[in-house]
Amino acid sequence: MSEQERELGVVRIWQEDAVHLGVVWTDGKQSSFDTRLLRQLCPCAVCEADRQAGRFVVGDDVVPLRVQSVGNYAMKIVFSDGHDTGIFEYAWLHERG
Amino acid sequence: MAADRRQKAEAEVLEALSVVVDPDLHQDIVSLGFVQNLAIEGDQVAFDLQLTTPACPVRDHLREQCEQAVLSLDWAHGVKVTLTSQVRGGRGGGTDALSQVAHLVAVASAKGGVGKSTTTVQLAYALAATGAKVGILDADIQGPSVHHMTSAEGPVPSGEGMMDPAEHHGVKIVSMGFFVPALRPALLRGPRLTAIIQQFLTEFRWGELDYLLVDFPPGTGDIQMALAQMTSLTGAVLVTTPQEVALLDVRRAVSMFKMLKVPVLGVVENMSGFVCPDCGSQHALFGEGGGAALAEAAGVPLLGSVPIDPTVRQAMDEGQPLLLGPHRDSPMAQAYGAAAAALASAISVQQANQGPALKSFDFTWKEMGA
Ligand SMILES: [Zn+2]
Repeated sequence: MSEQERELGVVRIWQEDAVHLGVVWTDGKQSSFDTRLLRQLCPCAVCEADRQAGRFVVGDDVVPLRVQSVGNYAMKIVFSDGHDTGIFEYAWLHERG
Repeated sequence: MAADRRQKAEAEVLEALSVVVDPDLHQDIVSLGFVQNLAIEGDQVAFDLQLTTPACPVRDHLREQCEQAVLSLDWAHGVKVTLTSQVRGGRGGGTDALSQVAHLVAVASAKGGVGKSTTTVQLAYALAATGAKVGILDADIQGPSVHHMTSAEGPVPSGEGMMDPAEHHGVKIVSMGFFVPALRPALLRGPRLTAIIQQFLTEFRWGELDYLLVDFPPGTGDIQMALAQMTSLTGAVLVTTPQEVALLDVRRAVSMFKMLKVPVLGVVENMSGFVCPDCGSQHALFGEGGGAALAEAAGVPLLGSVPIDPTVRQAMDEGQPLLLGPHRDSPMAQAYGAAAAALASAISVQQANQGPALKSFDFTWKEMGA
């Protein structure tokens, strides 16, 4: 039986304070994300298009409402401005965390 | 004094047992925590050997090694090893319908007609035959076939939202085929399809299962991608047949699952040979060892190669789990049994490698002072 490569995953995830999201990754790294920044960096197609068109405007008081895993590779954050199409991939987050 | 002696004896037994290594996990059974309920009475030793799957293909071999290891102690004259199993995984926490399902496994193929549903059904019954708790979710909404292949009775709506899956020879089954054929599932598209699969996952009382096999719709498109993201899969089994394009197909499926971070547990090759109905011997249709070569080229393990036997095939299409019927000794049944055992090992290895990762999470954000 061949060894499966170990995929990046989340060991622990929690709300640290009003705005920070804490994550412990399977490689032992610990990250703390400012969720306001995550909203600003939202990688979804709508936000990308808005950014390209120079009309990306998001208030800095936007906070998460809900944080959910997506399959084995990402998390989805539902934000208080109603935006919920951003899928934040673990690899992307891990690189920035 | 007696307690001291017992402790010393227990330590000696554990040390003796630590030479026994699980061949899949490459680690000794003591540090894996497999040895439990150790009891020593005079020169008699008894313990449970808790394996990671009841389908462990080397369980008898491990038991023998344990017995020999204990009897190598000069004071030990009798040993009793009880094999138990605890499929590790568990989706932990959560109150959702899948919270007690240890492993969700996709059974997928890049295209139709390779015997994917047949494989799902036979793997499921082969796993169940080892004592595992198994379910099948037929996610091939447009071409459901699992209900035909198992001759299971459809589930009965229980009134209050949640439904019970059908049960056939102990295997829990949910298939679109049980519901309103008038719905013409072939005409359903995109979001409607995923919504139905979501219902299958969340609105049935799956209960406690070691393995829930998900018969994926054939292909590597949007539906398959959506399905793989709906829930956390332990891994995927790819089904193929020996053809010129098989390697391309398998590679396509491998790269889809790779992208979604779903480990490919291995390949099952159907129709790897032909069992002659007259002489019972097997003829390779496309050369020997095609499945192994293909798996190696695609960089995934080969779980099994299943020959085709027209008489057995017919019984299977009529709804017989091969391992439970008169064909249980046929090459086809044996091949599916071996593939199921290989799959169970691959899942145990995957589990050991995955470490303590959360399978899923979902929480609401609370208002807090900064
Ligand atoms: Zn966005």
